[in-house]
Amino acid sequence: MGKKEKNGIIPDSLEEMKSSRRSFLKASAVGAGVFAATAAGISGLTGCGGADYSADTSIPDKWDAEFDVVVIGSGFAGLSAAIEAKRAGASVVVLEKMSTYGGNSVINGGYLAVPNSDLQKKEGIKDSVDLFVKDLLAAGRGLNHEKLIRTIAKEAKAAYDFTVDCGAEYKPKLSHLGGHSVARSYYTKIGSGAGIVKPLQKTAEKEGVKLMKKTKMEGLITAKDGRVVGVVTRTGYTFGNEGSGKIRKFKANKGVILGSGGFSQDERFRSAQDPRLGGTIDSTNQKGATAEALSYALNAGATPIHVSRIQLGPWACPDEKGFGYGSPFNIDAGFPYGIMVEKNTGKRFVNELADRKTRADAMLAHTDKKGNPVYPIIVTDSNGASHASKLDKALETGVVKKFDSLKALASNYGVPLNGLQKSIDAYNAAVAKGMKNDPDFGKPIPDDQKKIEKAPFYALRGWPKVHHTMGGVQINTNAEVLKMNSDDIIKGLFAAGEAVGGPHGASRLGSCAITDCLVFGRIAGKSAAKNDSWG
Amino acid sequence: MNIHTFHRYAVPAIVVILVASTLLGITVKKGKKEPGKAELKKQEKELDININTFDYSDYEPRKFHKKNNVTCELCHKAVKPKTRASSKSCSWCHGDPKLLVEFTKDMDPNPHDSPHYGPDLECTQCHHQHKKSELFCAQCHEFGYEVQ
Repeated sequence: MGKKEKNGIIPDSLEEMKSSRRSFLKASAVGAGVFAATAAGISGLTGCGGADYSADTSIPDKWDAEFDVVVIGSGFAGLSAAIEAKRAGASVVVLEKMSTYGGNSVINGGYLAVPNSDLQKKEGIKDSVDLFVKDLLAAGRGLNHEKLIRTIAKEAKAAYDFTVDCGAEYKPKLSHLGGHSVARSYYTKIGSGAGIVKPLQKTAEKEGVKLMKKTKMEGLITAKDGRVVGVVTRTGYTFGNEGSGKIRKFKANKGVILGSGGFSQDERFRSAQDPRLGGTIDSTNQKGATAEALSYALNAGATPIHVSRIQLGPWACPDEKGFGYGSPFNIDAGFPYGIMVEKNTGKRFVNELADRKTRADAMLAHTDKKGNPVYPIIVTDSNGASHASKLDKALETGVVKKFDSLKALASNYGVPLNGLQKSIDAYNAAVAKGMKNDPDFGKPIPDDQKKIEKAPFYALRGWPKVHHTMGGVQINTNAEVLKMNSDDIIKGLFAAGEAVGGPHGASRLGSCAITDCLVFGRIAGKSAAKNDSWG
Repeated sequence: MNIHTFHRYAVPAIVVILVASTLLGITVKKGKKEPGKAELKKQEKELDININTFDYSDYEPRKFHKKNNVTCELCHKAVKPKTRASSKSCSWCHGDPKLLVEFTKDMDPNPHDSPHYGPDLECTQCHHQHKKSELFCAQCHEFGYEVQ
């Protein structure tokens, strides 16, 4: 990887130069012999790997470093696991393959679902573990591992308190996200998951957790009995330059914790699971969300769960990259206080606050004869838009547009005005009657919904984006990874967060991922630290 | 004063001071001696590159650095570098990254203090020296910023 400039490709590093030189030499018959001898000689001297970079996962005579607990990934799950393991007395290292910490955890919306929270009590909202579980099972189409979600529900409040204790700050009002029966989602003050990750990172560093970035795990090292005893890593690795860095082997006395996230950006693996998800559809994720850590866990004997269940975020906008400004606008304003209509008819076609799968599938169905998207339009008025947290940004980038009249709005998007007006009138009638759910699609109408009628009006185009991979390895309620073909755990291997499959079933509810990551991250850290040491 | 005016004068000024002090035989506080033969041999063994034959001409510095005669040594701490330069090198001339946050505070969003990474992004994440710079934010956002 590198751009062509002047007289050749300028590589990212001397390591890349070295690897491209090596492949050139390999190609020539004469060079091959000389090269092999040189490589053997040099690797003997320095302990470098051989000519290709496929990981050798054998137990080394001498480990490069030794820790009680090795955590893969520096997001919500990894950092909370690391802090709990350290507090339980283990020596801990966190390995992050990218050049920045936090992965997806620093770039998401920062919503955290907590049933029975203090803020719910304050706002007079009645909630329960059972209601939370019911909502997750409904969205997950009953595929969820119920023991795991009960654990998440019960430990959510403690996880929230843990983040506050580390320094996280939240807005004073709860958000009501799609698929939830009641409002139960905290929203970070800063409007991004970084509002939780940065405090966790600072806490981890302060309490003696070692963090290593540009350090990629390339394999799990197992003993003869199948116990995971260490990892193969590349230190000084640069993402995109797969041969970069130095191969090292780290010993994990008590355990390895996978907080390695999902694979939404792994086009090859995701489209193998779901052919709709090739390169033409965008993703909200950071580029490092790929499937290699999952593959190492499966190599070690883990049970794969729900790997083909890949979630698309329905609130995304095709006119910008990633999560952008359109998504928060839809989440805060467009979906709860507005309506979504088909371009060609102006008619609504789905409950705008249904779970993600329901909405995404309904939106993706809107294609023309050639299979090209016919983007639906999300519409609201000034009252609705007043709930949007990043309205100015959305307007500035042109993703959301402002109109003096519905006529101008309809004309801009090519939506029939009659159809649009009818849809708005029907919705307003339900609002005027004080109905809890709209009669056409069952959308739960917010208590503070006003009729959609106050100019200026706001609108944007919508289209789903690959957002979350529900699948991963199977764990029990101790975050221990389970072996396939037996009732046993894989000793020394733990997992939490998006790397795990089971809690979210067929489709994850918004704001439940962070809760899952924190709850099971903390459990994994404690379980690993409690484990007996190997060797 | 904007960021460009500052750097246009600061870097040449510092380079002049460094050159002058070297000529006067005064060791610059953070300067490094050129590695001796033994050190070079050790580095060669580690990275399998013979620095006597390696072609460094592909690694000319870009634009402003080239114009201001910023040498390999200033960033890589070696006359014939073996490794990537750390972003710490940037601070020697361009100041503490935290001050950089102040400099670009009128940009919204502030690229040196984002909601996701704060001031913790390495300079070289965006400001590449041996190839075209890339705006890190552009992976997801469209701010229309041009990064030098």
